[in-house]
Amino acid sequence: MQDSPTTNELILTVAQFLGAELAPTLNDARLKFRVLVAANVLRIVARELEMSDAQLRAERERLNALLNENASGENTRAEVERMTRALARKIRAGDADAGAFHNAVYAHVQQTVMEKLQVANPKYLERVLKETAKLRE
Amino acid sequence: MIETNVLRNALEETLRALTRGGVRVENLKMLAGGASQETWALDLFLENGEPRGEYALVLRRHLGGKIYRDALDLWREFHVMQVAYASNAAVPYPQAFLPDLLGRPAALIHYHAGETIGRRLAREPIFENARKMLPAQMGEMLARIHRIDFEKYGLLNELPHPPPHQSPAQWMLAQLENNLDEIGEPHPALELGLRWLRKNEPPAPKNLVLLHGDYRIGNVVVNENGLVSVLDWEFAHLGDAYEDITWSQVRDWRFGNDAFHFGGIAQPDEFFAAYENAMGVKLNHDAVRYWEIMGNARWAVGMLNQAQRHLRGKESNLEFASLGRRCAEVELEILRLIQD
Repeated sequence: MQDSPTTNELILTVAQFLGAELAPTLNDARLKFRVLVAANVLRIVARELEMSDAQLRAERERLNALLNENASGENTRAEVERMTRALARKIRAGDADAGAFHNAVYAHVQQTVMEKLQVANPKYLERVLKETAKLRE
Repeated sequence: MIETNVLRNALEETLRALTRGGVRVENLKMLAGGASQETWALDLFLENGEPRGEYALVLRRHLGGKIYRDALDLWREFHVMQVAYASNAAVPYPQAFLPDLLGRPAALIHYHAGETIGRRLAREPIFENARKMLPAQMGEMLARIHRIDFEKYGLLNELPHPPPHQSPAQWMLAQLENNLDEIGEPHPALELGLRWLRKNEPPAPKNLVLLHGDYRIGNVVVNENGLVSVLDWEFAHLGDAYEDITWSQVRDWRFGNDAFHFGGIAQPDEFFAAYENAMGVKLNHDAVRYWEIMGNARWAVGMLNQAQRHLRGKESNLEFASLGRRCAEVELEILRLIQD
């Protein structure tokens, strides 16, 4: 076991350094922008490290249910990718055009996209969900 | 990256041979650079030859490769700009095409002062009047572009266009599906969107029009009075007018001002009305909705292409890499739009 700080703490410390310390000192606008992008990428990595195990297992369970499979091996990511490929082919072939299967596929895909955004851009996700809720009122 | 003085010398030498007069290039500086293209600003002074005078110019160089598979090469883009200019569209005058500047094609285009950055146009107080003017101005200008007689200028053979047996929508869907297959990463959300587009195609247009292909805030020069000119013609092609009409409503082109569906600056009503007026048509709301979804699908695949460009080692680029993770934003939008 490694001593503290944890992986996450280290990554977030570097993100903080790039965004709050380095970026404000840069005069080159393009370079400054890329430094801010780099800080953001590190925050994505930190969130992914925290969430990806639970997300992948939940995604595999949903795919198992949708495709009548029972994948439960060691390499969750490889299984999720294989089943997602199969699902994408089914959609393209028109097998999920309507009915209960369409609704189940849509719900799974929507949940998966939201999980990607919880890692990649949680602020955007929150903004769109708020907007959608307002439209429904 | 090329040395500024090497480029300046080469440019002066090339222009001396072309104009047979005195040539001075001053204030040459790079505006944007990458592995596939560079953009420079410069002041040009021509004496004794033909033409002569002072010019504020932009120099664009293509260095090989394409960021986008369907982009025009520099010569064809230059030609489309010439046609647009001759047809009274607001476009910076394309001054000269240089087939060989240090071994690469380059183009000299008049510099138009103004703002192009979408985030600033959507937010900064000094553009408040511009935001009021732009929707109607851009609607009228788009009609002017769509009325260009492209056959007269021989553009039918020069620009990408749907084959005779496919509607513009079917053509684009086939390209997007092929493109996704090439990328090789499964995207069920995009597949749901493409499938919806396959099943809900509106009637095909009676006529193809010349499309700008990237008509939105961010690709226009704007000052406090609104529209100055239209830039970035590299995606010009022939197709369905609704493709251009709806592109600026795509959520990512609202620059965070999501409630304003037209480019983050306004609702699209005035833009539509100005287009309808100038074009003498009535827009079909189903087709508008359809092509907004198509636009989102096209941009999602575009983001994946840029990420691939980084991943496949063609160009190590932090912004391209991060676009791979931004695709989910567009996927969420597509799922929302096909649900209504």
